[in-house]
Amino acid sequence: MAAPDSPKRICIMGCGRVGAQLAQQFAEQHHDVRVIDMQNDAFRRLPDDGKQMRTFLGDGTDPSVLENAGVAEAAMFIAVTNGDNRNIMAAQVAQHLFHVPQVICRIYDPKRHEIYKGLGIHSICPTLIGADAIYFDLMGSHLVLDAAIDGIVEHQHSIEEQRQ
Amino acid sequence: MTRKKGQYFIIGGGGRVGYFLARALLEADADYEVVLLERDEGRAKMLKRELGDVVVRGDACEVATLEHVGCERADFLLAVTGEDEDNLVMCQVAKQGFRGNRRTIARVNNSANIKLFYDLGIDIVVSPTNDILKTVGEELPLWRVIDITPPSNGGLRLVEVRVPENAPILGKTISAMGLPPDNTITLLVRDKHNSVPTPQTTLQAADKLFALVSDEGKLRLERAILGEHTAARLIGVIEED
Repeated sequence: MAAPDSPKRICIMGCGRVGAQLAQQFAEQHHDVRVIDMQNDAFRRLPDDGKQMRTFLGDGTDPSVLENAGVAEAAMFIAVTNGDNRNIMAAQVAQHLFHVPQVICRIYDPKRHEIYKGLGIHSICPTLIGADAIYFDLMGSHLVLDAAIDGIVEHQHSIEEQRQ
Repeated sequence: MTRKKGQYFIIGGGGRVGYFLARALLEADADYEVVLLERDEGRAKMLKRELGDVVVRGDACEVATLEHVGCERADFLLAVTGEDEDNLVMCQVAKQGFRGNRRTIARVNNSANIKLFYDLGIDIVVSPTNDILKTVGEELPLWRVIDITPPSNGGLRLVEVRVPENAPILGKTISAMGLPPDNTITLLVRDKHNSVPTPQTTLQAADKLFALVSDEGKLRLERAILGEHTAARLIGVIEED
């Protein structure tokens, strides 16, 4: 990544492997990282080296929990719990109730991923990405890399459009 | 399979609400067609013994399940699981993922989600918590502004509130509340006597007001009438009693 961005508030719902990994990456860039999970135990995945990270215990689909975590002032909201529906609902709360500029959620089910694309919810579908990666790896093709990069470029375009 | 000409209801979630709903609909009209979707295998088997082929095992949030039961020609989707997020998603999938038009009705457990669900396109939102609070509110002075209707397109909704003993507004006129211009106090109930108040009406403790308010108006109403009494204290009020 080029010059470090100015610090932003980034709220992550779900402190599983992906959530904890993202939290660490953003914290290394000195962002104001806030992690929400229903289980206290989940926070053990976060590094305890005193990085800029705050944890909030609660159900991230509950607007009052998100309010406590300061989602209203967040620049990004990332919903990566293990439940598709929880992620979908929390993303919509962040988008419609708290007007977070950048909201993204993980949806494992490709069909639901497709439907919510139509409803203007930005989502990542690990099932499609994983299946593609394995398929193209076995077929000995580099297409997957291109496809992934295309996907990222496309995503960046849509973010730029939203900002304008 | 031959289909009857009546209304077609898909119920998502075979808990107690789903079960009694299915039974009531089947008893209400012989022409009604009802499908009750239940995700859990054991629970679905049990429901099947009671209700027969009306029960289908499957997750109502899955496109494939809804496709299987013919969501496209459904007239109603009733989302009544115990999880708000599941109810929301099932309604949105049933609306967005299928051709045709159907009314979606969702149960919400967290009453803070009522407005959100309406904003997200659910046609009817039912909150047992809110309904019970409303009923209790008839008996107890609850220190909170209760929504009677959801906000209309113009953003106005009907609310109800009781005036407590130490309300900041006591002895002052309604106009002192500074409600937005398009907001109105539509009804004042004082000693079981109904009247339409004017801006000059002075409020007393134990008055009950019905008002048509915007989001901003609701906040001002809350501040003027409830002051220090917040919704959080409500819990204390009930427990103390």
